[in-house]
Amino acid sequence: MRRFLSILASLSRFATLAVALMLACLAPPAEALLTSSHPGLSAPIPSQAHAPESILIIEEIHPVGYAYDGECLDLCICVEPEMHTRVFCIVKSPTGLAVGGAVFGHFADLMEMGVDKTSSPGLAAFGATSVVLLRMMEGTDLLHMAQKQMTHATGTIISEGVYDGGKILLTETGQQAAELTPYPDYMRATDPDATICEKIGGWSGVVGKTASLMALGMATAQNLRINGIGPKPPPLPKNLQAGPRVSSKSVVPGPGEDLYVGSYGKSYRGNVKTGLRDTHTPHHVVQNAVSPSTTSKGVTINIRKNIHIKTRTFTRKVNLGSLRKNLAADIKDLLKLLDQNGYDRAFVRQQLRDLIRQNKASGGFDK
Amino acid sequence: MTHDEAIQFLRAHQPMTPTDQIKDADAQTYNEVRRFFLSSPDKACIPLFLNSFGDGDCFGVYQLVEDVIAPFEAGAVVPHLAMSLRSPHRSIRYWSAQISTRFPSFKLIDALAELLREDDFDLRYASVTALEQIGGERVRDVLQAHRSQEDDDEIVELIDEVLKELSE
Repeated sequence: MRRFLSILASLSRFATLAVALMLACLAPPAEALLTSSHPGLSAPIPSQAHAPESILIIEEIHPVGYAYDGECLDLCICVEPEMHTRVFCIVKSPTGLAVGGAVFGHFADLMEMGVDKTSSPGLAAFGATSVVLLRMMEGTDLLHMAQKQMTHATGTIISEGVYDGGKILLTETGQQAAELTPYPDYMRATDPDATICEKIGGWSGVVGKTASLMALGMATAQNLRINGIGPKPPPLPKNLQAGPRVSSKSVVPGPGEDLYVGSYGKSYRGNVKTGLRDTHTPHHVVQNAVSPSTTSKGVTINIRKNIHIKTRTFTRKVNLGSLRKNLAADIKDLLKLLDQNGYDRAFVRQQLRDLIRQNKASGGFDK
Repeated sequence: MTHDEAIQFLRAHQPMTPTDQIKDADAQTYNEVRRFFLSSPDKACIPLFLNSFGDGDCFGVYQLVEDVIAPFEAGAVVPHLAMSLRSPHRSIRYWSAQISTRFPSFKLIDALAELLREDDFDLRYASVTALEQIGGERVRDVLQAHRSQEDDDEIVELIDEVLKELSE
């Protein structure tokens, strides 16, 4: 309750009229918002040019789930005629529906401070939202509004599309919950850490995957932390922490992404382009020293350097006598290491299967 | 390991023994030297590392050497890269091309362009990757001129991709 009050208190930062207007728009039961189709996605975008000059306009209400105190049911995007944008989180609190602006007000603070890099997937998603807003004002079709490029702590990431996360969730859960994010879900989930808030003096980062967690029916109160709002929450359960865990085994990473499987040359170039080379390196499987391929053509899996140096083949030649045996030992080694480092097993197995396939395709494996 | 020991090891291995003949202990010492200079950067290690690459990958260590070189300013590295890219040792040229991606400089274009003419897929691929980072009109000219002579489909595809990106 105290936290809820603190949210309400934070609303004073925004126009009172905005709150009133939003509450008026929340007439449908909260549950309906979660399960309704995406009216906002197909509806034409009102032109900013037609907005009255003195009131706040709610341009869109998207069934986009963010978790906060109790249950965050929806996301409102509001555009002021003065070109100020606000994004509000609609919270189902113990006392009923309320509009919480704290989450995104906090993000606005980050923007005002000139923070243009984030190691937090959650913040990156918010960043995408703000860009979407800007494009809304230009009358762009929302369905095609994807932030194509995001400057991220680990480099620049090219977007595959704005609703990647939602598509995955639809496939896996049958529920509509999507974040406006430039990241495919696996990319946000593999984000190595969430420290930007700590760097600017806060006590926590924002943890992504919220919409996914909501759709999967997992806890909501703990998977989104807000810098400086309310008491410091207890540490997140391990399965909710930002990290390399991923839920989508259907997404295949490309060059410059975590666990990408491909040739060394292609993977290295990918890492240069995305900036991932600071943390990752293409790890040869099988070991380059026992492989018939050249260094550049050799099959690799893109892993963190701190994992690469723990592999069985780092700084030593380990030849078990045949490519098949070497490959099997390397796969077993990676399974263990990636599991120890918190990777989702299904995703790891998917990538290791590709690693085996590409090795076999490169030849030299007798039956 | 002391600074002197680390320097001495590198001086004694210009370049390292080819990976298919190297003893594990030497590879592990080389990695210790890498770790030493990672935590205690010293410009003296730049040319020594750039000329330390023996044939192969030293069981996964060479690909991590760029992290040791990366913190230095371009002015301290590029002149050494310009020379190591022309080393008589193929592996030195290869890993130097990779490290060149960290230090994109017009001063490296000529040396990287020479790698494009080598009968070696890895060198040409690494060269294109490094040239891509430099960008600019001259790199475009170099890549366009080489494309018509390139007979490897994968590298032709790579050059086309780079040229497209450079023209955007």
